Amino acid sequence: MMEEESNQIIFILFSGAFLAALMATFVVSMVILHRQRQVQNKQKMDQIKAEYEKTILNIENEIQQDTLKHIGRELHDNIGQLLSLSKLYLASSKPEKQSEGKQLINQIISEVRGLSKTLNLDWVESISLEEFISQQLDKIKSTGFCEVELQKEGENWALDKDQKLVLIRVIQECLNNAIKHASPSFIRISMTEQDGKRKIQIMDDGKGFDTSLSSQGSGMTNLRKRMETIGGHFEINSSPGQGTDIILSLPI
Amino acid sequence: MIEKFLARIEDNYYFHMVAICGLLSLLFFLLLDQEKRRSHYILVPFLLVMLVNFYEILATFMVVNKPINEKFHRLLTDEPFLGWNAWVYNIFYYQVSKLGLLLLIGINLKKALSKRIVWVLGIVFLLYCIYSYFSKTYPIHGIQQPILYFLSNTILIIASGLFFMDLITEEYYIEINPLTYLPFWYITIIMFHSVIVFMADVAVEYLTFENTRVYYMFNLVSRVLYVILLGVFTYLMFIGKNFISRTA
Repeated sequence: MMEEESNQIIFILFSGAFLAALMATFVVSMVILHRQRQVQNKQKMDQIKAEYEKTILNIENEIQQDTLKHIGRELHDNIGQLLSLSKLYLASSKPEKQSEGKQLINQIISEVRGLSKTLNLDWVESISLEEFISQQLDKIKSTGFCEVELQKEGENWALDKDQKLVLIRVIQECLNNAIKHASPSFIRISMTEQDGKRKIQIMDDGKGFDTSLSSQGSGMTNLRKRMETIGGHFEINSSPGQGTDIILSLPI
Repeated sequence: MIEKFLARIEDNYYFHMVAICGLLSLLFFLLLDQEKRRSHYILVPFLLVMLVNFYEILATFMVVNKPINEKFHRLLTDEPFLGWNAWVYNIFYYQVSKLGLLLLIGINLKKALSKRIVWVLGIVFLLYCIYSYFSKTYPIHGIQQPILYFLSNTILIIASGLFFMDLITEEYYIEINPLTYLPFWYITIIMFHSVIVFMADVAVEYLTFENTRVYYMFNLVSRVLYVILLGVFTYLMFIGKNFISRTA
């Protein structure tokens, strides 16, 4: 009887030990799985960070390339012309021409100062997004290409440099696409805040295009990805003959 | 009466440990600021420690004071009074404290579905408790409550499993080191306790009368795990937060 009871106790002890070991294994497995998930998450975060930095770097390069092109054009078309003219005036024996030449030199100095400021990207920090859009639309209007309109609600948006860089580049790209491919007679940009989001709507009454065609969509995919790197969203609605409506949204 | 009570608990080390945890928890809880005292993560463990103290004192008191025990017995049932205090454990340990532990696991769950499952488990268990009392299938004053014991342990095992599922799937836990997260430890102990005493609880009547050595062995394991659980709760009152590290 005693032996039977001892056997029962030993059996229960073993069962208990087995159960405890099973439980311990379960808990340790959970901790290991959790750690693996942490490692995977860290790798994913590193990858996202690297992609983000790469996108920002690309955008900075693109803006600098554009700036260099712009400076090249300015040097050739504007400053070069002004220098030639001032050379002529200064070489003249007439005092009034020499005086005009000196005024031109002052104008050149101020033009060069203005250009030198655009060489680095510090201007991005000093300018508001609204000012930038306004400048871009004024440039388009000054060429007589089409009519433009800027609608803005509320105060200036407080954006960090990276967000502003991406938005500037995406807006530039959207406007370039409209000018190059859509031949619109009117472009309107509206900046609104609603439902905890900031929205920039770029609308034109140009030719429009079929957004389902992959050849047309690759540039849009790039813009969409760029918006996603800053936590934003890119939406495009267009069809042939119906113009294009682009909405860029960013959480506040 | 007090002498009898003290004599009863004199060599009951489990009772001493529970009382120490209770006193320390009360002290640490009172030292916490109002905001922390109102936090579910602190308040529920504190109430559980107090509950264990309450029913342990009550159970011992019911053994030394038979007339009062009989009065309570008469309130609960018409069955003949045998002098047992099993009703105290059946109500406060197997029903109220298990629901409290389920609530504690529930507040630590992040997934809406997991929370809903825990709610359903709690409601089913509560309904069974009410049904079993009024149906008198298993009298509340007896130790033969296999379904109640089965259900109480099962809901805690399922809820603990849901917590571990949350731990490996939810965003909230990605940055957390589980080894420094106190809910991880107390839910692990709750799960260990429920799994290990599962069979012993269901077969408690057989073990009590047929194999007392095994009954005492399981009782000891259960008490050791419960003291560890109360110790973790007391430590939680002491640090006043779920994380062991200073920075968290």
